[in-house]
Amino acid sequence: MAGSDPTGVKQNAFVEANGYAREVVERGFRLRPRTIGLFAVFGVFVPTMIYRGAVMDFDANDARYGRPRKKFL
Amino acid sequence: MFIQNILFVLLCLPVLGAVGLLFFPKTAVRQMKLFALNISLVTFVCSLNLWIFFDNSTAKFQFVQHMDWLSVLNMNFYVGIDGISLFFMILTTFLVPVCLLISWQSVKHLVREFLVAFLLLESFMLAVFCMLDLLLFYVFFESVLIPMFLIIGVWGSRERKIRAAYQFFLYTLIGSLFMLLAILLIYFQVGTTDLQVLHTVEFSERRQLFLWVAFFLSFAVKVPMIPFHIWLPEAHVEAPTSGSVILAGILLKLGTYGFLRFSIPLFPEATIYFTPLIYTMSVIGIIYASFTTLRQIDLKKIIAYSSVAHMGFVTLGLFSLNMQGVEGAVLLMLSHGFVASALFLCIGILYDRTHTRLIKYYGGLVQTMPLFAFFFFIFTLGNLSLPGTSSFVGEFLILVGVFQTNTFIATLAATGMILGGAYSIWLYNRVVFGNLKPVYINQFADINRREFFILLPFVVCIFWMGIYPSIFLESLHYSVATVLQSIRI
Repeated sequence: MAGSDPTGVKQNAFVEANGYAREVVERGFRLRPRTIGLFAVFGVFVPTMIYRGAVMDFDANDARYGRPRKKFL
Repeated sequence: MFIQNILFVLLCLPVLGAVGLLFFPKTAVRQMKLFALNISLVTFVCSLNLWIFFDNSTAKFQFVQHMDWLSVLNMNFYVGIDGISLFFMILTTFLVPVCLLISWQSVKHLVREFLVAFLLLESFMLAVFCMLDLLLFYVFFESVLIPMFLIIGVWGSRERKIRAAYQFFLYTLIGSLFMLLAILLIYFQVGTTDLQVLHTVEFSERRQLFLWVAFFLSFAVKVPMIPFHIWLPEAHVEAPTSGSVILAGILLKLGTYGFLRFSIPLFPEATIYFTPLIYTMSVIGIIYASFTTLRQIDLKKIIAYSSVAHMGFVTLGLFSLNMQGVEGAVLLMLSHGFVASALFLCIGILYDRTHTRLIKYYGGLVQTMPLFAFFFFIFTLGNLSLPGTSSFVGEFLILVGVFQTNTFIATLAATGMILGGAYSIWLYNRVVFGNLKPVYINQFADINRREFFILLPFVVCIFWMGIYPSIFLESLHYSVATVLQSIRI
């Protein structure tokens, strides 16, 4: 076990620039057809499918065990 | 006598400590640190009495204390704990001395203010976990924001800290406003905010839906559930190490604790109504956050996003609405309190030495920091939920619970365990193995004695919970069963 003297890092301009660009996503974001398409797929379509899948599974279980169907959103 | 008043003692000790710090001369920095550390250690030892004297055979609230506050309005200072809040109290008192120790050398300016903020934060967090009055729960739930805002904004690491602090503050505050409206509505219907009385009240289905959504908005921001998670990575990255430890270890649990303490037992029909929505958000949270973790280049952001994924598992377990799922969720919350906190401590140790968290600068640390590599390895195993570690028990129980109610969701959620393995091992591999990068970092120092003794208890706790979880489950059974009694599926 040694001490914990701060030694610092010799910064690399490319690594720093890359890190900064990754950090301030809000400045690089543009609303393009591609981003709208991605939002439609991963923000709307996929969640809807998962939701429907979950509800169908609940309904199937209720039917299997003879319980009344639950009311969901 | 002491045991009867133990909750008051626990709530007052950190506040008295904070007041005591004001009497130290400004130059007595070391003495102030020692004083604050001793106060937090005494609080921790006192909190262990809760566990020692806790009666596992009852679901009633224990160590109950009552004090008039606004008696005219039927609102009183009413505290007590059950099996669910017991371990969060102990986790809180355990993490605060750890936070004070890890910032022993790194916090150099406004030391007194930092210590006061931490001790007050401890008191507020303890109050949240033991409060049995809805309005006072809200008051302390919000009070936590003030010291945390200061810790991020004043003692944070970079320029973006102010933005991160505001983001954290505004997100959580806006979410919580809806809960205040809901509490007012409950008060005007029932005439009190006493939780024990509220448990006996049955709200109409329509009102339950509104109240549930209002509480949900507040808790979902705090958890955080996707898409309310944006504040978390920012806050973690900008917070000092001790701030990140408290954020990951305790503050994230306030939301899930709120779900379990209020949303599920008070609004059972609305809970069932919204269960598929919670399942969907949790599963997306697990998968999306896991993939996002794989893409990150900042060490703290990696752990922050993995926290979002783990909290997705927790919400999934809570809304499985069966014993295995809910107990697994509580265990995973506790486990995450140890694992994520320990990982943030490890990153803090690296940051103290190099002043960077960008992963590109690191590599081959096993050659120069073997002890650090060992600890980091144990915590990485905990993060990927390896059998034998604490996270495995929690995630396994959650999957068992969810599988009983919804196999489709359980199958999707199980992929999160694989993705968890992928990002955890890859993180470890990039930081610890490979070649050293002397072009960037050419002087190394392994962990010192202080850091060693900070990390050691985390290793013990992770394996203890992983190998012998029954000791925790025994205290949980009756309390969880009582919560689930209100749900009639």
